[in-house]
Amino acid sequence: MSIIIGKLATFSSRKLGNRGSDIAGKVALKINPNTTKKLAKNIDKIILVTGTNGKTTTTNLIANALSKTNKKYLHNKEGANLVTGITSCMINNYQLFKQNKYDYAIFEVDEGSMPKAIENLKPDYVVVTNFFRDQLDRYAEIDLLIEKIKKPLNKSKETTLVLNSDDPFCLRFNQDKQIGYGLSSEVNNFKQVSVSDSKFCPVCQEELEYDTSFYGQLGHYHCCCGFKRLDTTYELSHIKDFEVCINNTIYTHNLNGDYNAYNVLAATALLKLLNIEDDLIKEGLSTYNSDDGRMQKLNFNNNDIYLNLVKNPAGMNMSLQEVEKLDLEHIMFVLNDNEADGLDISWIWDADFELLLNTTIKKFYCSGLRAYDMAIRLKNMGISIDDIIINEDIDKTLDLALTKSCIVLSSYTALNTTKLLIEKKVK
Amino acid sequence: MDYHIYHLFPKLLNLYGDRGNIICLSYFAKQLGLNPIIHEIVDVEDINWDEVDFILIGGGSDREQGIVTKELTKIKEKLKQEVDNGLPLLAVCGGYQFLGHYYQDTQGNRLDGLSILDMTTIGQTKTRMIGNVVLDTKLFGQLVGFENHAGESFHEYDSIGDVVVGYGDNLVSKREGIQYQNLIGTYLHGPLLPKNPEISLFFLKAHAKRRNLDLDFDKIDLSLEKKTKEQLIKKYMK
Repeated sequence: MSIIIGKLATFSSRKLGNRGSDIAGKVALKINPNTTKKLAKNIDKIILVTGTNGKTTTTNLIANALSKTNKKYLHNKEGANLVTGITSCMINNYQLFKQNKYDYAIFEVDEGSMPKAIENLKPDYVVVTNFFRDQLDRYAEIDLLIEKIKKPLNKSKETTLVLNSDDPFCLRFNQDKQIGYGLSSEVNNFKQVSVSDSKFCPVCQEELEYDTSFYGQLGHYHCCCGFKRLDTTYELSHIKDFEVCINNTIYTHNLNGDYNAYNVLAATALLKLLNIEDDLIKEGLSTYNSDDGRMQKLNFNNNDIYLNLVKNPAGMNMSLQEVEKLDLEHIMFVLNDNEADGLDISWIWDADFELLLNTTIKKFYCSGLRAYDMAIRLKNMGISIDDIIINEDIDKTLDLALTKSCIVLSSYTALNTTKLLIEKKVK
Repeated sequence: MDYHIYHLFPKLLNLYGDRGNIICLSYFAKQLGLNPIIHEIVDVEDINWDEVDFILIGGGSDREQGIVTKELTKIKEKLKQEVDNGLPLLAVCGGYQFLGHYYQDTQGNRLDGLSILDMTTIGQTKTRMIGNVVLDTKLFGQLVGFENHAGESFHEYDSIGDVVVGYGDNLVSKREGIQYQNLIGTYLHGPLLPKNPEISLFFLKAHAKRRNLDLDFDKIDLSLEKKTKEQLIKKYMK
């Protein structure tokens, strides 16, 4: 009953011109709080992907590979990553009077929604990408967040955790069944930058020692108390352009940004655990193109245009490192301070914009609600104010910025608007 | 002329972009023809008291604050003497709190501070004081920032200013921060200096006086900062 009403809700919401990606779940859960649990029973293997950075890309890579198999699967690709969104995805795909059995469900889940998602879905696998400082006004809650996820997770004995071994935060779950993935010490594609989130031992609070450091708190670490990196079942040993080597097999992909190696690795690890054939994994990875504002590449008047989401210092630093490699003339920042971005935008001072000083970038465009803050950040690293163009209106700023090759880095709540505006111009 | 900036325990005390204060002060110093040298202090033994021109103490989480307080206790007499004699120092949030006598947590436990300032801070759980801030000040005009704290601080010093938007030191006084000699203690992140060049200039003018330097402060172009502040105040006052 709740499923039917949920479907009706989506239908009417879409008729009214909304995306309606959340509505069915919201309505159905109001009527019957067990809807999620009930629908989950139709799915053989449920996979959840969570973490601060990379969860959308990892989820999309996995789903794209599953699409190459003859298996039936569900994927919350509309980016609705709260429990209501996941429930909506199941309801909207539900066909009345038919068999609704699925082999797999691959769901991206917001970190904050994980406890509920675990309780309701009893996932077979949980893939964790990393935990970075995201919204600084909620920073103190990183510890709390992990504890909140840990409780239901540890109770869900059948769940296998697929962890980023390089992130000490990820090792705090102590799940009975856990499998690690990570980079080998030969990988040297990442520059050392200043951001460190928490390089302290989660067990004894001493400072961790690093033999190899990739970026943020990611690396090969150990502590005098015996705490150390989880052994990796899946190890990535080199990154070159669009090629990575995982457990001695070469995989290619189309994702700009070396940091995407982690997402390719996480996706591959999970697909291997599902016993998907290697050829299908390869096909899945190599045919996925970003069209969702995650290092999305476009062309406008013969200029390369890149669009990327940035929401924290770690992600910003990774994007800035890419700029060094891309040979671009313009960079544009769209910085907002809405609730979902974090009200406090001081994190821009924790990111290393100084990396831009040695690049081909000539003009710096600042837009969004906090365009001026961004401009001040750039001025203070020595950029001449003549090269900084400020306009809070995104559309107008794009008109100027996209006259040359350009990368547009957007905060969360501005991403969709910015993406649509760029796509409209490119058309 | 070298300008020695000491950033105390940057790894432990670097919440909410506090290092932006260092980036900004170095930038201003360069505009004035000074040669900024940044010292990241991890051991208080490394402080050269003859050399130091400016100290930043940022904020950290409770655990990190505890470690740092223990370290700084070793130099508290010397630090107090220097502050009394006009050493420019900026203490933000947690750094501000532990310059007082103590921080009392919600269970009533007291974490001793450095007693450099006659101030106490009481933790509470009713309201987390978080959000954008606008101050009216006599010394600097209007200031903007972002606060994020649960502790309420109480003192009798000259405040930096009156709170127009936000909370400030505590839930009752509607005042924010301390200005004592050349010390500024405040809850304002943002970070503070890039958006409030008046305070950078305050520190650098104090420096010029302390070291008998003749610096041309009119050289610094503040047009972007002025516009930024105008725009932010308009946004916050809405």
